[in-house]
Amino acid sequence: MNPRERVLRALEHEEPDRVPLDDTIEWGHLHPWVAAANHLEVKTYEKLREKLGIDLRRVGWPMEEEIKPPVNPPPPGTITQNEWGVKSEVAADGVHSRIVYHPLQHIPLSEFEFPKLESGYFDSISKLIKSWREKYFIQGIMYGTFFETIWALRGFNTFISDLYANPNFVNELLDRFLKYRIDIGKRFVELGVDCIQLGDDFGAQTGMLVHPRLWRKYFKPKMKILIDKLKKVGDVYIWYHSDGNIEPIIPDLIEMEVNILNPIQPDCMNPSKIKECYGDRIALHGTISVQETMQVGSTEDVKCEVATRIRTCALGGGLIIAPAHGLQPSSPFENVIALYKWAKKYGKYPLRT
Amino acid sequence: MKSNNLGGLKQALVELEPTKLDELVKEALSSGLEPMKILDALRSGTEEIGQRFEKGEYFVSELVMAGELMKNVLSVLKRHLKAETGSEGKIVLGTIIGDLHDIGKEIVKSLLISSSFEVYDLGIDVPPEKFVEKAKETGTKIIGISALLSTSIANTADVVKALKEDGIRDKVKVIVGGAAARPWMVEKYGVDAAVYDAIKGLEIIKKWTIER
Repeated sequence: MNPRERVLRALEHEEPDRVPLDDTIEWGHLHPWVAAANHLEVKTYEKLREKLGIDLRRVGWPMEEEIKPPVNPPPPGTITQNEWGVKSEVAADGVHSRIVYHPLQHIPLSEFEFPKLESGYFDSISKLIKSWREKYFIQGIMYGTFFETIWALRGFNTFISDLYANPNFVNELLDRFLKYRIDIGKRFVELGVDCIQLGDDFGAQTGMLVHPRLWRKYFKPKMKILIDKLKKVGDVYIWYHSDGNIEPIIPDLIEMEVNILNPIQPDCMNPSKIKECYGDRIALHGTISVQETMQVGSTEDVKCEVATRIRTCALGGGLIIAPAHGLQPSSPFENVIALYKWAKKYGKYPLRT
Repeated sequence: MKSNNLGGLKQALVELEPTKLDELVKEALSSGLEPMKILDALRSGTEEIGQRFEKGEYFVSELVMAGELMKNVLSVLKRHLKAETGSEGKIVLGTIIGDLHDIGKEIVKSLLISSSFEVYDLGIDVPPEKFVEKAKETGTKIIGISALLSTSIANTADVVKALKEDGIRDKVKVIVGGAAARPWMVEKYGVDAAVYDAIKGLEIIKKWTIER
């Protein structure tokens, strides 16, 4: 059974040969991954994925393939600008940053231009897909689908106020985003990805950032149209990401034909409860704590959490194990190695009772 | 506006209706109603919003929206209220050094202001000595530290250390709040409280004020 077949089997809620594994290399800080690569004596991220036994690949978030030491942080106070025109200021730690300019507080929506993808953007993606297609399960990245990108453009408090006081503006903005996302998503599907990764951080530590009523009023209808359009173009799985606790909307996501829920941070939602309530209709992706275990736990703690997760969430397939978000820079590389080592050992089907 | 219509003001805030709230505040002021009575009605509204949040009926979006509404009302009432705000006490507030998140801090700030606290907001990425300096300068007995990042929250211990070095640790209570806050931090970092819920934080701060 190759990695792609393994993932497909798990997503169909059947038991493959072992629990599939994914990484979060692009998501957070590279330090623990670079340290793991050095320890394993590999020079590229692809080799690192092979060594760790990663079954999935991602396209749409270009990064250098060669592993280099993390670059020196820019000096605190440096202003950076992304493709949307959102400007951020680098913090004292040189790692995090804070948005200091929200374009849609200054430019009328009618005059605001969406970023154009660089020419050749899909050429490099197409090459990667061709090289991975037979062996791996490939995911096309479209995170920050609506909410996250929009509030960065508009300002968090301002956009929350818009949801209450400015519904026409919100709907017009969402419609423009919808068209933009459909156009990009269609290209991914036509190029042959197995899955589209959608999502926005709607969850805080203990509950949702946005009232489920507002989510259903504004975001659900647009996301539903997007999912329907993409599924019409080709046979793709839909992956939905949100940090934090989004339990109130999980039934909605299932109704919208989302297939995979990520990252199910165990510090915010109980993975075994999600498995028990919804595990026959949606697959769990992630589930290993990056706030506690991967960051401040020992390798023994990682081993215990992996064992618990497999025991409580892997029965009948429907589980892909990965860190439940990007790793913090201080996470020991030993924990990265331990996560994949024990997931491969304990994740063999049939599961040991 | 008659004082028995203050219920409408409270309700407009609780139901998060910006236009209605704006109209009712203007109407109340033009009818000569004391600003403090308006603020009292709205304070009772923020309490109900907090209760709805605790019951899971309201979410962060509602706390943010309530904060925005209160900010607007307070800017209208400001010149009338100068002598009256701060009756509950003072607090120095800031996001710990290394952390630039301010949504949580802004929510807590709005809740504190609407509960009549005088808030000295130091902003984000605040070094320990700034908290101590401001507390001394203003005679504030409570420091509130906001932290979202688990990588930065350990710097909270340095605020406690700086208070000790200055010999005023026993005079100042320290509360840390935010997504990264955990109860074990009380012992490990030497703070007096650690909560990740704005409403619980407000309750603790109010309790400390009463105890004093």
